[in-house]
Amino acid sequence: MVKKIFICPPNSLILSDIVERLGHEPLTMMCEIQGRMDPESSEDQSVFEPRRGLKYTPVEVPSGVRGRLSMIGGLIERAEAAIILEDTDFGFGCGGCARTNELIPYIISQQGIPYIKVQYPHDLESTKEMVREIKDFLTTLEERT
Amino acid sequence: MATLAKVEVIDVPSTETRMIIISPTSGITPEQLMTFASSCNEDVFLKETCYGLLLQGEGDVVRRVVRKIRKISPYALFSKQRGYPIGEKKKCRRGREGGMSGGPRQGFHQLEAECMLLDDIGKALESLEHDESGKAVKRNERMDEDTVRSLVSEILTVI
Repeated sequence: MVKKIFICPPNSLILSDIVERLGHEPLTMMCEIQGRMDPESSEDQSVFEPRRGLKYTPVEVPSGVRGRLSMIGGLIERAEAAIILEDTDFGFGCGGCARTNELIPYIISQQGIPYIKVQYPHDLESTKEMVREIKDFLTTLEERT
Repeated sequence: MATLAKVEVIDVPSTETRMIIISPTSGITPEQLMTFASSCNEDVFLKETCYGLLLQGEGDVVRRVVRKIRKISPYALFSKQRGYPIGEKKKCRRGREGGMSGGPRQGFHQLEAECMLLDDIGKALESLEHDESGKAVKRNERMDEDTVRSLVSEILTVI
């Protein structure tokens, strides 16, 4: 059965491609942007809604974090499982914000959905291990949920 | 002062834009992909890029073309969705203020970083396909409660 899988970083090509190859639907930042974007609007930031981010963070959190979470939080809510890539290189991912990147695994754990943390690969062996772990996780997803 | 040609946004209902990214060591060129995709005779917009190809059209059609393209080399071609349509005014460098200036498009650095890994990812996927019995080695496996208790008691007796 096709499951909706949230990937972190939410714009990752590698994770999105692997999830699709294994027969599931990746929930990515690109889907969210495509759904929200208004082609007629001239505002570049029209996709962000910091007020909606209040659902996931306190009010004193900077609006940048809330704006990011207004998009990412919705994806996590829709997700049935999640894959988190850890120890990535500097600047990897679309968050561009350390606080947002810290909050994402926390929100995922609060949702109570099954998730897996995989290490960012640095050579062929670690890449093989990462792909195997993701495959094992996705193939045993039915038992976990 | 020369004026830039007006950038037209292709606005198709239920449209989807996808990127095809070629693994750097595969030897496949974006031109080859473009020729193949054009020969598919499907109702999609195509744009050849430095990393591969952009496709835009109705969701089902685009995914069908992507499946066909992937058959050329399953472990060297990768695909992901793109948030903005081809030639989007707010993101396309051609239409941004200041003409062709303004640095790379948002998301390009991420794509560049991931392109470096595609070769290994392709090899890993291929090896996994051929070695179905391969199980992942579990990292940082949690010890059960009894093991922790016995370890603690051992340490306490030593002290």
